[in-house]
Amino acid sequence: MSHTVVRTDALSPTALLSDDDALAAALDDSDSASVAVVGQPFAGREAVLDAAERRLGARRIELGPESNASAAIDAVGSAPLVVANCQHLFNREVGGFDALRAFLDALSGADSAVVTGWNSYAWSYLAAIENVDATIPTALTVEGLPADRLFELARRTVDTLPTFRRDDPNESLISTRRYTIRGRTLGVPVPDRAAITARRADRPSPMEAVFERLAAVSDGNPGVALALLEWCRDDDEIRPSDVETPGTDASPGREAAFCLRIVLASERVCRERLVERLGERVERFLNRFARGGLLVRAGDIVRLDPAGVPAAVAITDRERIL
Amino acid sequence: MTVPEADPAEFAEAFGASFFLEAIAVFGVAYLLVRAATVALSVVAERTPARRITIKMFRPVVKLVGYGAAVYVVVGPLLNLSAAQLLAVSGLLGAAIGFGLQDVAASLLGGLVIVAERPYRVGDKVTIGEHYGEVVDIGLRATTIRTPDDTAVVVPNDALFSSNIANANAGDPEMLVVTEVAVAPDADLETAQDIVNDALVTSPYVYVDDDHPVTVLIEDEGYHRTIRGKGYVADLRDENAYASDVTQRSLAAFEERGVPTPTRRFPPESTDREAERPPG
Repeated sequence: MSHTVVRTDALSPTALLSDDDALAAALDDSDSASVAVVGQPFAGREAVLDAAERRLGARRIELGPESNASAAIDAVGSAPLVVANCQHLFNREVGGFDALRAFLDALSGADSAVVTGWNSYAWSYLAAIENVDATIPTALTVEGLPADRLFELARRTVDTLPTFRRDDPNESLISTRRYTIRGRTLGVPVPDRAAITARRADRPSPMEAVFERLAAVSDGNPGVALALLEWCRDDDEIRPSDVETPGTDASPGREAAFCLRIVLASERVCRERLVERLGERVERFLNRFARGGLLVRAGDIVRLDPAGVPAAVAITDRERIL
Repeated sequence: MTVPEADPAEFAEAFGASFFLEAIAVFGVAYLLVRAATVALSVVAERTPARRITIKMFRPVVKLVGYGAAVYVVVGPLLNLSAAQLLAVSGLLGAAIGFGLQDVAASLLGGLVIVAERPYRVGDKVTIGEHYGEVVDIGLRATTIRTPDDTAVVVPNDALFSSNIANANAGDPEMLVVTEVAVAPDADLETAQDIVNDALVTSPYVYVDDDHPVTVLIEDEGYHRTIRGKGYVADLRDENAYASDVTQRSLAAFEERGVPTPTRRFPPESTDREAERPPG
């Protein structure tokens, strides 16, 4: 399993936002002292925060699973500030919002610009339960990249691109997907998108087809797309039909999905924190998800695997976890 | 299956053994088709939780159409009866309904009204009369409710005309769950309120948006205060799990932060104070 993370200097902040001038407009708007940069994990919000830091000449604070939020709260004041990974300001437990509320209180009284970076899943959760979007009304959303931009990014950042091969046009247009219904496994014939694409008269080149698939599967998320490129390549070759996401189709259950959502919204989290919240059975959940390629364990830290993001999103959305 | 206009002997012949064998075959095929369609709908519904109830809503419609078509195929030949034969059959049916089948007829009519008006759907949490539970099946004659104790209660569809029906979610996959915890009269109510609010919004089962807010109310009950938390559960089948999770974590936080509860004020070993324990 590869753990590719895109270098932030390889990403253009203007390409990641809906409008080339969005960042400048948000920072120059004197009415909004605080700005939120919201993006999916590995989607490149660090690049936007870098640009904001340079433009404002701001001090920067990086929050993490083991960092103390009081440094960020105390730093909000008269000087420009960039605070990255603000999803670490809260925990999903009783009493887990105290630091976040103190930070939002400090923001509401800030005299100078404060640019904050947020994981999009944490942001939408906090918008629902804490009205964080009312306290920070100016939010810049990091957009996904189209296939051609992803290719350009891969060309600049991947050491050796694989050879792009065409799928075999003689393979069946129908593949079999297996479902388990009341203990019985049934095979259901479904159209094979890759095989259909391979037979199209106006079919794109193998390289274009691979990056179209990567863009579709990753939702244009550059960090996820490049991680999938590494995960799916077979030594030096890759075919469009090779592009798939790790993860299991079976539902892991609501508590396991909740555990996964915490990792998805935090990106990195202490194992002990998960155990405090969900008990020792967390160990089973984490091992299962690590085997499925959705997350990585490094000592006491559990972190999201970029290639596992699409599956993590699908599993937790299916269970309707906020 | 054609019924010729003929004398009573031919009429009896038309309704002979072959008629009933054909009718059994038609209803058998209808049963298999309806069964396959409803299972397919259930499978699709479970794979799309957000539209689960909407998809399951079509199950009674499939049953109505399937069995209705079977009845038409079997009984259709009656439409070719002569006036005298039709009168005889009508009289027979009228007598049967009047004397023995009026409840069945009322239930069938109730089934048609349920399909048309949809006061509840498969998957809804409802109270019909004294029974509360999840609607697991809507048939032409009766509705099956599964109670929180996992008991299947079969309620005739004519209860629609005689009982009040309360629907907790009205077709939505999420529903409001009310959780109550008690604190002592001298407890810090703001802290208790914050704890219950946090327990509601951090549960794995919660669903929150602008249309489904979380609210926490305080009520004075005389000898204690009740903190009543209201939140929506994402899947109504997790109603009890959500309430238990919120209650358990609220009480744990009360203990951790020193929020007194009515029972915590009167330890069991103190018999004098035990006698002073307020009711409830």
